[in-house]
Amino acid sequence: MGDRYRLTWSTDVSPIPFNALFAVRTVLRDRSGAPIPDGSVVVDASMPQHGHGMPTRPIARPGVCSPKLEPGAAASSTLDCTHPDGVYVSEGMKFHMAGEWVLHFVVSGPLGPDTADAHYTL
Amino acid sequence: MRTTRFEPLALSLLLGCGDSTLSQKELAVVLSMSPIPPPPGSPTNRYAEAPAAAALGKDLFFDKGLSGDGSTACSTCHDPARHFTDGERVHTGLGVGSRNVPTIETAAWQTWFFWDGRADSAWAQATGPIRNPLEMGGSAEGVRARVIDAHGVAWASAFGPVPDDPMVTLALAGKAIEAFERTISPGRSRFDVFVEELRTQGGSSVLTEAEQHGLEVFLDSGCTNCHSGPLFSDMGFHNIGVPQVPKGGMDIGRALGATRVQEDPYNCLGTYSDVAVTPPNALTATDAPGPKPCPELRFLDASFDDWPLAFKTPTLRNVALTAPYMHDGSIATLRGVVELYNELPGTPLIGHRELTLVPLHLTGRESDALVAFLATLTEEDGLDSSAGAAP
Repeated sequence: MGDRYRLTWSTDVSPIPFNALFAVRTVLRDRSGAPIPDGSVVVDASMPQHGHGMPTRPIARPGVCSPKLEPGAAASSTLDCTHPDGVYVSEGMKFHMAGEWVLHFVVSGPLGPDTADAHYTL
Repeated sequence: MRTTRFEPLALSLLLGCGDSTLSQKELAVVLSMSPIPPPPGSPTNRYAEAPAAAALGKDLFFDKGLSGDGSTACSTCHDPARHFTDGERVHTGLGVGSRNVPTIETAAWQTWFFWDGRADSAWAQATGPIRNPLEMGGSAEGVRARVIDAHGVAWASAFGPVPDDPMVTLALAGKAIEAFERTISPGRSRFDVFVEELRTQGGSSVLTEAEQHGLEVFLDSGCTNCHSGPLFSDMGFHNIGVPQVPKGGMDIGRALGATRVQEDPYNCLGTYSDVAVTPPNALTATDAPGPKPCPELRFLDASFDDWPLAFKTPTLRNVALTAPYMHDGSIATLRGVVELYNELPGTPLIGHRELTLVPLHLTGRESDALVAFLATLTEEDGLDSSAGAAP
């Protein structure tokens, strides 16, 4: 990751299971360690030695959302979402083969875009 | 006699004419392959464990009256005497298909069904061949009429009145067939005895020297990349480059199946499913914890780059008795399958072969040993006759 953010990640099941769905929990902070609740984290993964990614398309949980307040409108069809404590969750990850995996994190937030990779051997 | 043992500190597999030692890593792999655990639940089928549904499903499975012309039953192709396959290259019902008949012995453990995974439950799968004009050539309306005519008592016991809607009736018929299929499983094999003795006694001489050698070849050759776990299948889809001769159009396998399962009205998220699905409502979006329904279907990536020409990894349980092989039945013998992996001839017409595959170039002795090992996965006690015998 570049020098804009600090990112830590964990999974809902440890170790990561073979050929089963799991979720990635990412905590996003700024350089001082303060959590960033108003960004986004997209997580994907691939196997460089195999030349492919996952057979699933992970979905990021929206966070804690409420209808967006728009002046003069009786109701809203859009949402304001936030991620308390800088926690972002992506569901639908699946490592369907054993071997070397790379998790890819694509971050956007108030400090600008950034990316990070993490290696994992299943 | 050759004995396989595991050595707590062994770092590699020791080959030789005498005893064989499995490393801790290899032992973990071998132990993961037996025994077969109980099947997972079937959340889309509330009748999956109901005996009355299973009894009805057995009747339906063997009933030729479900077909369009009364000539073909599920059991015509899924013959219990052949471990629920038919021994033919491709299926032949009312017409001639293009794919080999897979066994249903492991249906209860599967996530995706058909070679291309175009169904996401065993009951949804069962409704496919009934309506396929090349297989049973029936219809939802025909199934409803047949159950009224021939299965009234068993149906009432399982489900109550026959629904007016033929699509609901067909879905329930499929759920009964799934309940029956869940009473079937591969029987205990000599390999299972071997693993049990490894686990409990630290060694086993149940397998012959050739079979143990074959196990070593199986472990060393990367077979477990896909043929993993107690069913010897990752239940996933891979393009292994089976030579294809396009005839009536190329069979692109999972690339189409992944889309079809998303569109199937009988899928997990459909109205016929017994999973409680809450319609999406953006205004209630939240990080609320708890399981959400149909995760495999919801997260499926139908545009995954490796889907073209990918087909489901078949189980290797009872594989010695379920020739011919591959999705198109194009290889007659297990030795022939090993030869495919020895040479990996040609390149796939589209997509690419699984990159982990390299030609094995096994010797004749190694190839024979591998085939001998695969035969140890044959069940000991014959067919599960209580489940599979014709009524």
